[in-house]
Amino acid sequence: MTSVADIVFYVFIFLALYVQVFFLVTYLEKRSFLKKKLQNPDYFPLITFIVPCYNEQDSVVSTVNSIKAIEYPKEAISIILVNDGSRDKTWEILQQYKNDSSILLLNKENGGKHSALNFALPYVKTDFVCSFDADTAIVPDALARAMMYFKNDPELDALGGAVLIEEPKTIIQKAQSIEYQMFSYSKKMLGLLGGVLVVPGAFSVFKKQALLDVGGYRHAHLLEDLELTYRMQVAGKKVSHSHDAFVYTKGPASLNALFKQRLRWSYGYINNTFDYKNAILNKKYGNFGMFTLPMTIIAYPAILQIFVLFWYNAIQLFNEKYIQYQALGAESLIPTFSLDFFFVDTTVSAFLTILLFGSIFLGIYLGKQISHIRRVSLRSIFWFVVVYSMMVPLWTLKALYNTIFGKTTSWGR
Amino acid sequence: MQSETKRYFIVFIITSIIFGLAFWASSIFSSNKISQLQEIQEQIAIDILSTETRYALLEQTSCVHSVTSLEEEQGLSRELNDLARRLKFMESQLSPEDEDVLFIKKYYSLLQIKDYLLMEEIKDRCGENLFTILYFHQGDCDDCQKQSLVLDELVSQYPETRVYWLDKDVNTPAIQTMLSIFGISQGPTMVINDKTYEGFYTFEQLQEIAPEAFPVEKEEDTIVKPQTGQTETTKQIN
Repeated sequence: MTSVADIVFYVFIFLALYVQVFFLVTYLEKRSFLKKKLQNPDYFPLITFIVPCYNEQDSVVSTVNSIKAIEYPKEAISIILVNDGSRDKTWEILQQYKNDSSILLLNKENGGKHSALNFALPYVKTDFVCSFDADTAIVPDALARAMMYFKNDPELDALGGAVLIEEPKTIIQKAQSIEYQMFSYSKKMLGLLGGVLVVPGAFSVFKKQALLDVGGYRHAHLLEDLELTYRMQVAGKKVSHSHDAFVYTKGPASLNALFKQRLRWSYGYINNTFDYKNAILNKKYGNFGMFTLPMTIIAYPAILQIFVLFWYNAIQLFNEKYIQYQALGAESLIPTFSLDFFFVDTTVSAFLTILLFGSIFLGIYLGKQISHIRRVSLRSIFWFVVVYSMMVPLWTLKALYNTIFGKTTSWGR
Repeated sequence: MQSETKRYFIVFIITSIIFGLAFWASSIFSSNKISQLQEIQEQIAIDILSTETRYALLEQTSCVHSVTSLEEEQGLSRELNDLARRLKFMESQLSPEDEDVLFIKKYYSLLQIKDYLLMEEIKDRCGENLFTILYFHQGDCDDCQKQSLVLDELVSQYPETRVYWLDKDVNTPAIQTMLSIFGISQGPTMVINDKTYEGFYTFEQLQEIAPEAFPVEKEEDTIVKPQTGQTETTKQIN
């Protein structure tokens, strides 16, 4: 006898495995390409960095320094720093660059990140634009590596860079470092399939013309980078991902900050995806419509279901132990290790759960391979599993709640 | 698009195979466990047959030779417990309605009733000192879970005690007859020395009920009051 709950569980696990196999097949197919020795960069077109700054007094200087230190012809780089009505000392701090000919300072009323990016666009004189976050540090060879994608594929319109967590200190940052590492694998696979979900605002390179063609940035429920990617995908622009052009971001340090960030992401994802619902399962948009969107949509109920199952099992186990305590007292709770294989769980669900976790760990491993990360700390993986299994459903539910009841979601700072 | 469609299809096939493997592995392990249960059950059947045969032989003469104090009789008690525990686990693994589990459960119940009747007869005729507890339980009841744990512990401390684990929901005429003989409506209910004890009884309470069978090692003067919801009735089998 199989219950409805079982069948629902099987369906979600099947779909989750489908996604993982999809990635793995792609990986195996392109393995030789991914392992190929990196080309020496030899393509240095003029490019403009746009760095929107809102209350970035503590990080903007090191961000500018990291851009100035990249391995790229100095004369080919210009930087536009847009102060989006910061309430702190950002504007005063930016004044140190006012005599720097490669840096343009812009000041405007606060209007949100998308408005700051759009505000800067008319000032861009180069064919290439790089959107860059003010709390991010760029690896010296990242831009040159990214530009090689444009050299190798003249059709390319937008390229997302690989974002990793810089020196994770807190438990929350350690958990994120594993998540970002896993993302770099799945994002690369989506990139190879032409199904990029999002070119990250933290570091992405565009052809200016492509950006203007689709009409620049929009408010987009506070997730302007996702919406821009959707719009480009739907407009038939070519979007890809570079796994070898790295930037480092700090990532929220506290649980509360992470929650706010992810609430904004989830909320933005839900609302933008709803706005682009016509693209879902639309063959016209290739892998983006047929795979990327459905896969990310299915992830939501799947995550909730795993959460419910997790707590259901936890409560059952607790109840069992409580009954044992009532019956035989506290001493009986001290576990005795008996190696009787008979009592090992060998249900279908147990095997499927192992497969699912196996595929997640494989994703982390392949992410490590792709990103050339030398060591992965097991402790971080532990925190990743703990933090995300607890928190993902919470911000997902809150985002759904906010969407349904028309609550606005903020940047959270 | 042609090659893309092919990719979707190939991935579907691979995923289905992996998915199927999980089902296949699970069924292999389950059938392995079921056959383990059947082995224990056969062992129990043989043990009971052996007791029966020895008793039949001795019946002709007298009660000089003890039937029940043998080592293997204590082994039988353990086997009964062991099978009860394993059956319960398999119910949670497969489902209480699983055919194999149900079949083993029915057969196991009948074996136990048979052994119970045999022991009663031996006790009556030869006055042998074997202590039996008829334990009626049912699925999905917290008190039954507790009682099962206590009885498990009891048998491990007093191996000469024999507990018969009877699931009151097993739909076999013999069980239903037992239920009506002892007037049992719900689990957990125990029949000890022809008395019916309904509700949950702690380890210490059971020691109070049958001090001759469960001697307390340490001297304790605490008097255990029966918990609410417990009722004690006397009924004779006739």
